[in-house]
Amino acid sequence: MSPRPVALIADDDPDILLLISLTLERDGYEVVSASDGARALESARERVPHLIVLDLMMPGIDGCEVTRRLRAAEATKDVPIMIVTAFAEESQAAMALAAGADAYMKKPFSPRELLAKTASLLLERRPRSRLANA
Amino acid sequence: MDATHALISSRAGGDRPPRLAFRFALYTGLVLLVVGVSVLWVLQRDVTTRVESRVEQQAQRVAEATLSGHLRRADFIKPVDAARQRALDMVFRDEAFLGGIIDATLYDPTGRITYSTDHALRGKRVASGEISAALAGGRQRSTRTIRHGANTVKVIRTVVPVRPQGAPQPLGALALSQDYRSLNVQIDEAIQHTAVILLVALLVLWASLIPILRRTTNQLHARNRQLREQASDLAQALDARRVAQQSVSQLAAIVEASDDAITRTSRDGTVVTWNPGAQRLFGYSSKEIVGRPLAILVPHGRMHELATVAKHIGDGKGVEDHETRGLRKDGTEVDVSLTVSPILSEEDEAVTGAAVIARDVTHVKRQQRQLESLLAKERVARADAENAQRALAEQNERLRELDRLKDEFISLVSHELRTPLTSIHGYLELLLDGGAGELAPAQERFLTVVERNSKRLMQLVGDLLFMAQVEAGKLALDLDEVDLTEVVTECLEHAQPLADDREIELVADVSETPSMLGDRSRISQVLDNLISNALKFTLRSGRVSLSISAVGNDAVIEIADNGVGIPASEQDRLFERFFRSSTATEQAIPGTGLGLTIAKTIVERHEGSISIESAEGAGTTVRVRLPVKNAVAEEVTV
Repeated sequence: MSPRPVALIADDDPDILLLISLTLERDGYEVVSASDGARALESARERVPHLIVLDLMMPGIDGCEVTRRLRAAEATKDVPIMIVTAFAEESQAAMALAAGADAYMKKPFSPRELLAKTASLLLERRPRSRLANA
Repeated sequence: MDATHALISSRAGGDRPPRLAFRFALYTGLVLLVVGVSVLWVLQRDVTTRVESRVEQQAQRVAEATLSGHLRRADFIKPVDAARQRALDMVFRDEAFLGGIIDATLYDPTGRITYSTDHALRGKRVASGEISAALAGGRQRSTRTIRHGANTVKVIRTVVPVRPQGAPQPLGALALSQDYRSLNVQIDEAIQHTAVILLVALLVLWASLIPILRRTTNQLHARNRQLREQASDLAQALDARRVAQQSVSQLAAIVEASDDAITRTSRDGTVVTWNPGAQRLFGYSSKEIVGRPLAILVPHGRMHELATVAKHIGDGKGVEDHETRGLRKDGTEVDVSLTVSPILSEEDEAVTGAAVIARDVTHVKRQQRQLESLLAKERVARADAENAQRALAEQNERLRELDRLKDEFISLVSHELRTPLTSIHGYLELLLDGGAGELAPAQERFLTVVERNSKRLMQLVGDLLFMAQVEAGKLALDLDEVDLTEVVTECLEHAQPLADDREIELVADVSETPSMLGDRSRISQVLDNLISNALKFTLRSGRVSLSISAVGNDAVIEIADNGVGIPASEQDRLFERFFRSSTATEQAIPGTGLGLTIAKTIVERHEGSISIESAEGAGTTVRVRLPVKNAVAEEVTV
């Protein structure tokens, strides 16, 4: 296992993708980026990440569907997933949680907010991850 | 006979014939009895007379026999002496008494008793018309009651004159009394036979009368019944006739009073009767039209209709409510509804004429035309209404489309604004955090300005989207149990840096309140907004105090400042969208004019209320009431 935790990030907006990547890299993650859902799924199969951050609205396979498929795969069924959404409606977030996401974050968000959320998500998830690895 | 009798009995209701027969039997019996008694009475008289006359003749013979053999002239001159008396007693006892004679008396011509079997009477004189009549030459007979020994005996007394042969004057008279009982015996004997024969004859007669009687009574009964039935039939017939007459006169009255023209025509279509209604409708008087053809009431163009109707009638069928036009006397036409029925003869049901009823339907036609025009108008109106409705539906559809577009727009704006704002804000933060290396002081100051304005922009976008959501009815509350005290404390913590920055004293008076059911993030939004307002409108070194307490079923949160206040004239408009107070605009205090509107919306969605008290220059107090009973109720039910 790599010494640094791996974070998989998928967003069709390259600016946001870079912003999240920079933020997480500064926080010590090894970041794997994907510009759409299909690539994110492919990447997750190749290398199981410790954390996944998905944009909800992406061309092709959207965040909800990616989450469902990741949860369906044995390797990624316990990986913490955070959904990022620009929709104001709570229903969108609710759908993401129903699909299997662990947390969601509404845009606009600040890098500080992102780090706080990911940190708490990993803390919550750690015992289960360990259990899964063992 | 019996069957008939029974029938009659049952018909006539009971025992009348037997009673009648009984009565007849009784009456005839009585009559026969009376006849029998009368016959017997007459017979008895006759027999009595005959017996008495026989007795009389017997007395005569006795007298003659006695005179010739035994009586002497001296016996009628003076009362006899004792010796002669004894001798006479012997005579009368021997001769007469055998024949039932119980008493004999001799009278001298003066009526003195010279001898009597009743010795006490000798020498007595009896003034009797009977004796003098007998002395005058006639035999006398009478019945009387005499004393004979100890008994009283009814006797028949015969007085005969005693006259020697050739003597002109009677010597005296001899009275003989014969016991009536021997007569009675004779009479009774004579009558008894007759009576028995009579009785038997009468009984036979009576008995032979009974069947005749019965037959006659039965016949009488039958006849009686027949007569009664005939009478009843007659009465019924009379009733029926009276009813018929009544109905005829009623019909006549109806025909007279009817507004319809009612006429009768003969088989060839000649008018026979003509009622006042017909006169009113067609203008002809009865005198003018009776005897003329009905065809004069038909307009020229419609003669074929008359022919059709006539053919119907000829076939014995009627025509009902045939709408046509009639021709008046004055030449004008009138809309009529015709009902024509054939009149059939009672004997062979042949058509003898027709009853024609014509009703003036001018007003009906007019109403019909009006109705038709109204219906036409209604159709037009309905078509208009349908068009309007269709237009409305189309408009509605367009509005729905617009609504949908608006929703899409909100989504789009939401997404398309937030994403770049995230980038702007995120990268600014990275820069300011030294993510791209150390910044020069001027760079850092400028970037701070950019960051502050990007925050304002985010605030504005957030508020606008919130209001758009509210208006689209899409504001959903994420309800959960909310600890208000905790929320208030958090908000105070958030606000503390800004308060410190502006050197404003932030005072809190937080007491425990029950939790409520609500959307925690929305309530936080309200409180953040209100505290931020208070801080914005309070001058440096001012004071903002925040308190929360439970009052009844409500939690009351008060945010008070001693800031610039709001002019009284503007206080009514504080909750209007985009309204900004003059103090805010004059002092260039940043804001969207949506904060209080949003606060009010959220509080009211929680069934709470919000109010503001303010005095210009003295400060503002905002009071928020939120019901806590919801959470309590929820806890109970969960």
